[in-house]
Amino acid sequence: MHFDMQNGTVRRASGAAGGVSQFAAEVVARLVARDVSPDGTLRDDLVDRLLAAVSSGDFASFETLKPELKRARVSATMLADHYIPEVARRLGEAWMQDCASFAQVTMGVSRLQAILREIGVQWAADASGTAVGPTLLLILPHGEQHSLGAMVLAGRLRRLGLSVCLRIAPDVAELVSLLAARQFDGALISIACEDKLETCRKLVETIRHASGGRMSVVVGGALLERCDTIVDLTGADAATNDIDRALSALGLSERQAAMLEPA
Amino acid sequence: MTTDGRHLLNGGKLPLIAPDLLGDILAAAADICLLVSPTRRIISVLVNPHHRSFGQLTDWEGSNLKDVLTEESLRKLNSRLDDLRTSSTRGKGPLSLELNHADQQRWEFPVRYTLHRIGGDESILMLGRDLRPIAEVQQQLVAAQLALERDYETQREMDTRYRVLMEVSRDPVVIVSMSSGRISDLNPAAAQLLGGQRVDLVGAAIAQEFEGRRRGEFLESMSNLAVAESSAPIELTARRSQKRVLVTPTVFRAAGERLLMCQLDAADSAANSTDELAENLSRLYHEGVDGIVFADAEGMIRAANEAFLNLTDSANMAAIRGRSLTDFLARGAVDLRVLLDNVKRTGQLRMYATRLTTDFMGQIAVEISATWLNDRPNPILVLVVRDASRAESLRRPTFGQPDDGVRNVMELVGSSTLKDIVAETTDVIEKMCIETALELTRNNRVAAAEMLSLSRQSLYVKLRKYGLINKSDD
Repeated sequence: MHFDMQNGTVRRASGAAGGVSQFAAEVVARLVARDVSPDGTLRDDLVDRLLAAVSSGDFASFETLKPELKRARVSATMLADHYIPEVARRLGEAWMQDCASFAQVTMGVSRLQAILREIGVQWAADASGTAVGPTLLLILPHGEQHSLGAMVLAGRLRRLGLSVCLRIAPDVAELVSLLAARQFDGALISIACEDKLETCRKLVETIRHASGGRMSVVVGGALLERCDTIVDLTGADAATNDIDRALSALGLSERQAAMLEPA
Repeated sequence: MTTDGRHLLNGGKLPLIAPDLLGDILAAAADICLLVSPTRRIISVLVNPHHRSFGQLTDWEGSNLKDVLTEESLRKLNSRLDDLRTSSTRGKGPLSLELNHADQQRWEFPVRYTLHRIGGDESILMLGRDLRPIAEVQQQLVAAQLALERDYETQREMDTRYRVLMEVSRDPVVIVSMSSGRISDLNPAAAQLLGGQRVDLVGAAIAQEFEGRRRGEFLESMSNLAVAESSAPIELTARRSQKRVLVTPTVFRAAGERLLMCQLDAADSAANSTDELAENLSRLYHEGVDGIVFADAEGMIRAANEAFLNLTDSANMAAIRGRSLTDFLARGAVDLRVLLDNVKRTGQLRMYATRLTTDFMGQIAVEISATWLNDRPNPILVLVVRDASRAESLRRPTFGQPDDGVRNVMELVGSSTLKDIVAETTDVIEKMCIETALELTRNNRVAAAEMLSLSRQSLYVKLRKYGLINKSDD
C-alpha cells in the first residue's frame, strides 16, 4: 500500500494533510473494528465485576462499572443478551453452592432487572419498525417469579423488529379481553418451575380458545432444561429456548423479522 | 477449630447431657430439627414448641426426605451430601445449606440447615433455622417488582402512542415548562416551523426562539393569554426560520409541573393552501439529502434547507440568510460568476464541481446544479448542492470513507482515554508500516529494517510483537 499517494480531498481537510487524515481514519477504523468482541464471548473480569456490583448493597457500584463497560466496548445489547443472563446464572449457582442466600439472589436479580430496564428504554420496535411487522404476546404465568428471562427475551424480540406485548400474571378474563381487542401473530409463555405447568396448560387453552385456534403458542424458560415433555404437558405447539426456532414455530422466521428491523 | 459437640464434651467444657433431655434441648435450640437415617428416611422431627407453627409435620416421620423437599433443593442436598461423604469433615465446620421444603405441593417454606453426622453410620442430624420471615419479605419484593414491571409495560405502550402522535401530527405543538421556560418537547412539525432540529430545540429557552422576547415577559403573556377567554393568538417571529408564527397557548398541570402547550400556526397560512406537488416539494426541501439554496440575482442567500446547513456546518437559517454565496464557495466570487453567467445564458447548469467552505474553515467537495427562475420581476437562482466527498472516496477503494472515519473517531473518543487511543493507534500504524515495508521488499527483512530505519533486532522484536513472524522462521 502506498499511503503517500493518496492525495485527494478529504472532508474538512485537503492537500497533503488529507493523505495523513485518511491514513489516520483508516487506522481508527481498524482499531474500532478490532476491539469489538465477537458475539457471545464474555470477559470474565467484567462478569465478576457486574456480579459483585449487583450483589453489593450499594447500587452506585454499577454506576462506577458503567464507564468501564463502555471502555471495554460492551454494548447495551451485549450487556442485555449475554452479561445479564450470565450473572443471573451465577447468582443461581451461588445459591446451589450456598454461597448466597435466596434473599441475596432475589436482590441481585432485581438489580439486574433494573439495569436491563434502564438500558432497554429505547428498544421498541413499535414506533420505528414497519407498521405491518409481526406482533407477539409474551406471557409470564401467574405465580411465576422468575421474570428476568422474559424481560431479556422481550428486549431481544423488540430489537429484532417485533412488537411485543408483555403481560405479567394475567388472569383469564384479562387475557380473553386482550385477545379480543388485539391481533397477535403468536404467543410465547415463559416458565421456570414444574408447578407452573398446569397454569401454563390453562393459558395455552385460553389462548387457543380466545383466538379461535388461530394463534400458535410456544413455551420457553428455565424448565426446558429439566423437562422434555412440556409440549405434551401444556398442549403448546413447541417448546424451545431458541428464538429462531420459536419464531419459525410461530410462522415468523427470524429472517422476516430481521428484514423489518430498522436500519 | 471445630464446633463438634463431642470435642467440647470430651474437653469437659460441657457436662454430659442425659439422652432424655437432649431431645428437648435440640428442639429448643433449632426451629426445626430432623434426624435422618442413612437411607434418607426421616426418623424423627423435632419442632421448637415456642416457634411459629410449620403445620402438621409429624406425618414426615417415616417418610423419605425427597418427599418433603422441592425438586431443586433435593438436587442440591444430594450433591452436598456426596461432598460430605467424600471429603473429610475434620477441621471444617458443619455443612450449612438452604433448603426449600414442600409438602405435597401444598405449601413451601425455606429453612437454613446445618448438617451434623452423628454416630458411626451415615445418620444425619439436621438443625434448621426457619427462613419464612425473610421469605415473606422476599415475596413482597418480588410482588412489588412484578407490579413495577407491569407498570413499565403500560407506560411503554402509552409512551409509544404519545411519540407516534407527536411524530405524525401535522399541527405544530410545543410543550414548555412554565418554571424553567424551556421546551420540554415538540413535534417535528413544530421544529420545522421554528426552523431547527428537534434535538436542538428540546431544552432550549422558548423565549429565545422568538425575536425580541425576554423569558419572563414571554411566559407571562402566554399564561395571561391562556386564561383569557376567546382571545386571538399572539403573532411572533421565529428567530431561526424567520417565519411569522401564530401562537395559541394552553396552560395545564401534569404531576405537579405547570406546562404550557403552544399550538403554532404559520401566520401566512392562507397562502399555505398547497396542492400535492407543492407539499411534496416542500417535504423534499426539508427532508432531502441534497442541499437546496435560493439566492437572488446578486447571489445573496434568501433561503436554504437543513441539508445545506449541515453541509456548511451552519448553526441555523438566521446565520446564513442575507449572506452572499461567495462566503460558502471555495473559489468565492469566481465560482459565483461562473454559476450566474451560465444560468443567465442557458437557464441551467449541471454538475458544476467545486468545494464548499464550511463555517469551521474546512472544505468539502460538492457538485452543484443551478437553475435560474426567470419568470418574475426578481429572478431567483436555485442551487442543488450534492456532497461529492463520499463519491470521491468511493473511487479509492483501499481507504475507509471519511464519513466513517469521523464516526469511528467519535466512537473511540469517550470510550478510551486519549493515551490509550494514541498508544493503540501507534501499534496499528507500526504494524501497517512494517507489513508494507515487508511487502515492498518482498519479505527481505534486512531491506525492510533499513527502509524503516530500524535495527534488524528491533524489527524482529516488532515482528514478534505483531505476530508477523511464523513459528518456522524462528
